[in-house]
Amino acid sequence: MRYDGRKPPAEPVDDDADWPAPLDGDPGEPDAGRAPVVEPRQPDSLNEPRWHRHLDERWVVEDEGRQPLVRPIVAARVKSPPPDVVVDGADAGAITFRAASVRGLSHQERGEPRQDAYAIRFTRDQRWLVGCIADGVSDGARSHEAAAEIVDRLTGTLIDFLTGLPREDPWTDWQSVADAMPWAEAVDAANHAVTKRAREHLRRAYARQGAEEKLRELEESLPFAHVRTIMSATALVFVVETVASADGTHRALLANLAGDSSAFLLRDDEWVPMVAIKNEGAEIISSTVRPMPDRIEPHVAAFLLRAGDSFVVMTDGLGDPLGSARGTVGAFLREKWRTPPDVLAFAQHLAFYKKTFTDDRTAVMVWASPPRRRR
Amino acid sequence: MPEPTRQADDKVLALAFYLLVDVSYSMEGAPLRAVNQILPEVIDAIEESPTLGDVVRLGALDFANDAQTVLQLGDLRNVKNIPVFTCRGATSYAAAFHKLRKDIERDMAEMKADGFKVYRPAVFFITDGAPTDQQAELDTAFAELTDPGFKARPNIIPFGVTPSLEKAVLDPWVYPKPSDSGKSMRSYVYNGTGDAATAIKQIAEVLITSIVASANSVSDAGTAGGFVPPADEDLDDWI
Repeated sequence: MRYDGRKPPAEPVDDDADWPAPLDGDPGEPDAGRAPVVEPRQPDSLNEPRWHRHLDERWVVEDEGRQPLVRPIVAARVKSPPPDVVVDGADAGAITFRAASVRGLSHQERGEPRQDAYAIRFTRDQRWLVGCIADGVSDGARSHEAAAEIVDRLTGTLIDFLTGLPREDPWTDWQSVADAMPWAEAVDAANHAVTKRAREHLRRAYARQGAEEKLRELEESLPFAHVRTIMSATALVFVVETVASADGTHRALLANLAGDSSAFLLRDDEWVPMVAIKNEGAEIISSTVRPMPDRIEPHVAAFLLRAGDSFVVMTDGLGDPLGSARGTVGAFLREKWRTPPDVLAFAQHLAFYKKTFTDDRTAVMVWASPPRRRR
Repeated sequence: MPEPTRQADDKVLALAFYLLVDVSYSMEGAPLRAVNQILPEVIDAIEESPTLGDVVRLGALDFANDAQTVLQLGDLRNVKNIPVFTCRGATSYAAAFHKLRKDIERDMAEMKADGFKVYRPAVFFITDGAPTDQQAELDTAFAELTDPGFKARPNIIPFGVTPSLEKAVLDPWVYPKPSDSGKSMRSYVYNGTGDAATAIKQIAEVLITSIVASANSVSDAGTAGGFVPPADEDLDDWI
């Protein structure tokens, strides 16, 4: 059997309409008489938590399907695949952060590498935290490299800028500070790094084929559209000041540069969407579909994080099962992430089983002045 | 009563595929034996993969003078006895399209009630002969099946398993058309040196490849994924 991971034979650009959309329609009541035979649905009570630990210790939200049966296969196609799981967490100033990225069950099953990536960086004085998440688009076999380059370059450029920012900056309007950050430079650096990687791959491929003409053309130009057939990734960047301003708030911003990542604010125990949710209306910043490398004019949303607030950014591997955060996944994560969990526990929460949701998942969450554990 | 958004968030994904097989008498013998290998092969392939098994639903219908459900759309792990196609009668595409519309309506309603977010289904339509229907009846049946007001109108890919079948006979039953919005599908007529049974074996392979690619597309792109049609390079012997 050939698992070729073939994708729609078109760029995932502007052609949502080309693909059969999920049927929307009146949601019906679960019908016990027609429940799947393998995993019977639990009785539906609003008050009972609908998550539990599987025997293998992983969290299950509602129904795990056959996910516990997946046996991860080495991503042997790739010379040095990224680790299956990465996780970080620390306190800095008055904020706490947690970050994790896990290889999806379908990639584990197919022996494909984790294509998500994140980067977390602080200025030397730790006053500013810059984070970025990226989801390599699986149309390109090397998209995990694009994701890694993009998170590295975007955060690096912004950190350089923030390092030079005067401590008592003359601006009072945070949105104009946010807009004045070197977005074009950051995007160029990421586009350039991805294009360079793609060029290296093509150079080797053309050399093997002895394609002299193509080799010459390659050195002259390599359009982004061509790069995207080899590697591309989504990108969402955030910045947060670890030290609170005089009014107790933390300056923060979000820029969804490319693709379908999502972000939520957790305020007063409610998830508030900060990026347009797929197929829904609510939004603070809109999401563009096309992955990087691409020409981008970023829309930067500045906001203020209050003490007790937290926000989380995530790739669609978590965003899709979370949806508008009003379902069971939303309730599960609200309970687990109300205050900063243990760093390893954060990765476990991220990697819950939920039937048919098998993509790589990446989440970075930042809490402003969270209550500290006393024991 | 939970609010609708909670239910929308709690749905799981499902991809539905239908096999629609001509069992008119001309299919008797080796072609039908080959057809009867398709379901076991697809089931084997899906059983190898827990994530495929979770998302893929397969159903089968046959048609001759009339059309029948052979395997009701469902989870293949719940299939205890794999049903067998048997020959009878003539070649009524109209009967096939009528029955398909009814089955899809029933199946999609059940899937939604069971909490699935369902993509538009895909139909692999296998035949070795031209329809024996009145043209008007046939056109009506197809129009009903692919009515833009019918949300679950399927993607239809006809496969002619013998070179004697003209492509022009199958092309009208492709859906969506290249001119429509939506990814256009196409018909395939076998033009290799093998017999109809050889052609049918190849369909089993492309069906499995398409199922796997579609499931991967949904895994990797969530609700932005969907049905991935067969790739022409997998169908070298077909025009």
